[in-house]
Amino acid sequence: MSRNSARPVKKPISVANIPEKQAATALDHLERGRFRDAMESYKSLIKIEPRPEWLAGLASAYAGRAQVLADKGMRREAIELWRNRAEICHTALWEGPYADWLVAEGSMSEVLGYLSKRRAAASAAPDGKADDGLAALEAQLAPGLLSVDDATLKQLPAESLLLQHRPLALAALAAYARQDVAALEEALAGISFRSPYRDLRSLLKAMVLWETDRDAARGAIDRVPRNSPFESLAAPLRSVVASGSERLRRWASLNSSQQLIALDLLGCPRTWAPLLQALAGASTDLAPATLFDLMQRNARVLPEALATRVWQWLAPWALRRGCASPLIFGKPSKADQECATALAVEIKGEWGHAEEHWLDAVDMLASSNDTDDRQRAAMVLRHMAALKVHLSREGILDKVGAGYLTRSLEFDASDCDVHVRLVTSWRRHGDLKKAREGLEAGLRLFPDSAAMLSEAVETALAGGAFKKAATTARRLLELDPLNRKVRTLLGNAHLSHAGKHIAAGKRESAKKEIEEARSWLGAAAAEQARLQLLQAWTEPEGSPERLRLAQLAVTPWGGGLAAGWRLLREAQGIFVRVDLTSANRLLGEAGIDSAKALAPADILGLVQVMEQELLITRKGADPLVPWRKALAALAPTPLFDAETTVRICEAWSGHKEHDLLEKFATAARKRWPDWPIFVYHAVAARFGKNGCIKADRDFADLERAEELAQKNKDFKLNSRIEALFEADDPDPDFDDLHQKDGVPLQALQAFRGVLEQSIMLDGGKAFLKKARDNFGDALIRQLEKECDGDKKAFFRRLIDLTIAELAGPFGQPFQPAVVINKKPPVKPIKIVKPIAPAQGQGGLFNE
Amino acid sequence: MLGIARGADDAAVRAAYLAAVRLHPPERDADRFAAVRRAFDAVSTARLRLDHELFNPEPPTLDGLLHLLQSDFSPRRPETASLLRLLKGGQDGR
Repeated sequence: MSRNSARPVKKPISVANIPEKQAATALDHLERGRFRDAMESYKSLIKIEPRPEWLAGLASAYAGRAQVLADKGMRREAIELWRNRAEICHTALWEGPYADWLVAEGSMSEVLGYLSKRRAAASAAPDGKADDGLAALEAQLAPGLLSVDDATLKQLPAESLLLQHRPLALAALAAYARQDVAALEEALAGISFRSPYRDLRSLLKAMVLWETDRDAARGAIDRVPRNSPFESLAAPLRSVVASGSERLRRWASLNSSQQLIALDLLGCPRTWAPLLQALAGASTDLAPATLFDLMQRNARVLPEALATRVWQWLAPWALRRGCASPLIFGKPSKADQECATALAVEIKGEWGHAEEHWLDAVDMLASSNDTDDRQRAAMVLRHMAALKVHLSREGILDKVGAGYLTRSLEFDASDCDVHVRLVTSWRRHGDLKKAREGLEAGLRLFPDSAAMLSEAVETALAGGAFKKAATTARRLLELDPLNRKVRTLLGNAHLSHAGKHIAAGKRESAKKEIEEARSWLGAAAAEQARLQLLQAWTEPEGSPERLRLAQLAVTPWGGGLAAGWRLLREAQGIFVRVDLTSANRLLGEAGIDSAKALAPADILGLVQVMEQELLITRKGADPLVPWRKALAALAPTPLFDAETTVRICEAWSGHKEHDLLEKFATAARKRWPDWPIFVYHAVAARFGKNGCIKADRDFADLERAEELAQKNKDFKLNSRIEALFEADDPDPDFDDLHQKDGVPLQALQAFRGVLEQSIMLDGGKAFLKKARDNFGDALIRQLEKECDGDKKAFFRRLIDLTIAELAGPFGQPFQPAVVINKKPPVKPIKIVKPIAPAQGQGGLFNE
Repeated sequence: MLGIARGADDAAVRAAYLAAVRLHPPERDADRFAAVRRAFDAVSTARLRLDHELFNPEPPTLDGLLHLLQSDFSPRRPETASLLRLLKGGQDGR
């Protein structure tokens, strides 16, 4: 069988469709910037039929291709292509960038020859019509004409502005370069608005402005048109007036000559060009570590001081490459290296490890004679004291933090705030002797500091020195008459004193104290109400004045449940026993009827007050005693929506009303089973009552609530649930080891094994961190020094210390380890007194 | 952000801040202004500058690096020959 017979028969081609399809393809190439393909397509089309639109398309394709070549520096090829364009497409040769390319290629004579011909033709025109394009072409030649020789210039007619203003333009450029202001102004004044050099005038003015007023320079350069013949000089200035990464982006788009001019204008060394190119190629959201790598490759062009600064800034974000190889670029000092490493570790969240590096940095900085270094040492110590690990939940500084602040004062005692923080810390730890010493020292340096005097008042009050507090407060109020904090402090202190006198039956002394308090307290309703209530209790029982004052006192509190709660809280702080009978009597004096049925508004009013008031725990005191049953009965009733119920539960929780919280939360769980917050509150209430989570069901419910909180991205609730779990089982591993009659030797050795395994697993990081928290840095550092870099010995001694600490309190004799101690027993270290773990931190065996 | 040189005093920092505010006024560029204000608040006094240098928790950015590199620049004028060479290259500068 013949193969030819199997060939498919070609479909007949429709001649009418070919040119149209080809034209569409050609247009597509043109629009997509594929100029060579467009040229070929249009040439084929023109062979079929020289339609005007196809000729125009071919001309555009030629122009596009020529521009692409010129942009690549192939101007000769671009010129040839342009000539072909004029010949084939019948377009004007002397249009667009043609003259510009000729000038750039050194063919100025050719351009000038053309100009003179055109000028002659224009003057010989019978209708005397001016040639509009001639002036534009002349202006286009202006930049190139500044560099041509005299012979070329002779081709220009004497009356040409190109020739007349050329010396002025050259003089202006020279005056600008040698910073001769007068000569520059004189030269620029000669260049008129009609001159082909007018854009050079605007440009030079902008370049001068750039040095003194950058905003004005931006405005000036914006007035130079983008298609100006002087754009080659305008472009570098346009790039430098931009800011940040935009400046870099524009700079990178310039050609090499323009880039060098831009670097000069910026004041940037020309040798930095490769570095800037590398940065320009980077993405704006580059990761810090990648930025470090990029600088590392290019930093050799930077001066040492700047390279060091860049290193200091970047190294903490590239721990391995930066901090581990400090001399990779720049020349950071040992202290700088230590600071960078400390910051790097701190950024990672390893506080204990960071603290070790910061302390090393402090030692280095402290040994320097440079004032700045000593200031740095002080700041590092203050920074460490501000770390969360040294602050309790209430924001009280622990003893280690206080130690840092004390040491920082050795290097710089000029920060009043540090003195105040130290005194506050000692006062709140109950060390009033140290607090007073600190105050004396602080007040010597800052006798007129309101913060220091305010702290002096608080310290005096804490020590019961009312007279001293009052004297100091008066001094403070002379300096700061509107200091309400001190006024309230003193007023409340007098009221507390008055309460003691009332309890002791000394009514006259109580009245005096109340009058004293009146002089300090302001006119705020809450303060006045408290004052009037105490005043009422100085009057004899049943007297009309007592009733009047008591009723006056509760009026600003709104009467009802909220006012009654406040009244009973005050009463329970003063009177020895406030049972239901006496509570009702006191409430009755104030005109509050506790038997009245509670409305939802009463509960909301109470919640609002409870949200504002701090928790006061007094044994046996119950400010809700008359209403407790009524409140409990309201829990299952659907009076409130879910949000309001959450608020009510929070109020009960904040004031440790565990019974009411359990009832409200349990009822709310039934109504809104998808709300994990009610599960938390119900379990937390039972935990508050029993001291532990007793029921397995509560565990399971709480775990499900935690999952739900995580799913809902409720991080606050999640952390609250975690804290509850932790509070329920603070030492999970330790419990197994502890026994009432001491820790058996086997358990101690098993524990040693566990510790050794954990050291093998992570190199001892976690163990060291816990040990540091437990024993304090001083002890750990002492151990490190004594072991002199021997890690094995260091960890062995640390384990010995931990085991000794564990065994010690239970009276078990400590047995040296037999598992890894193959060397003779090491000499015991000197332990002056292990630093107690900071408040809020767990023990060594928590994990 | 403010483009201040190392060792700049309080007055120089304030001047740089005011210049930055002129460039990014709050009514026109609120985000940028807020960033400028934050930067000024972080370095307005010598103590704060030292604090920023030691404990800056902000990750470095390309913009920040450029500011750091350019902080000590002082503009210089190109030579006449360089300018003429550039102008001779034609409108596109080549």
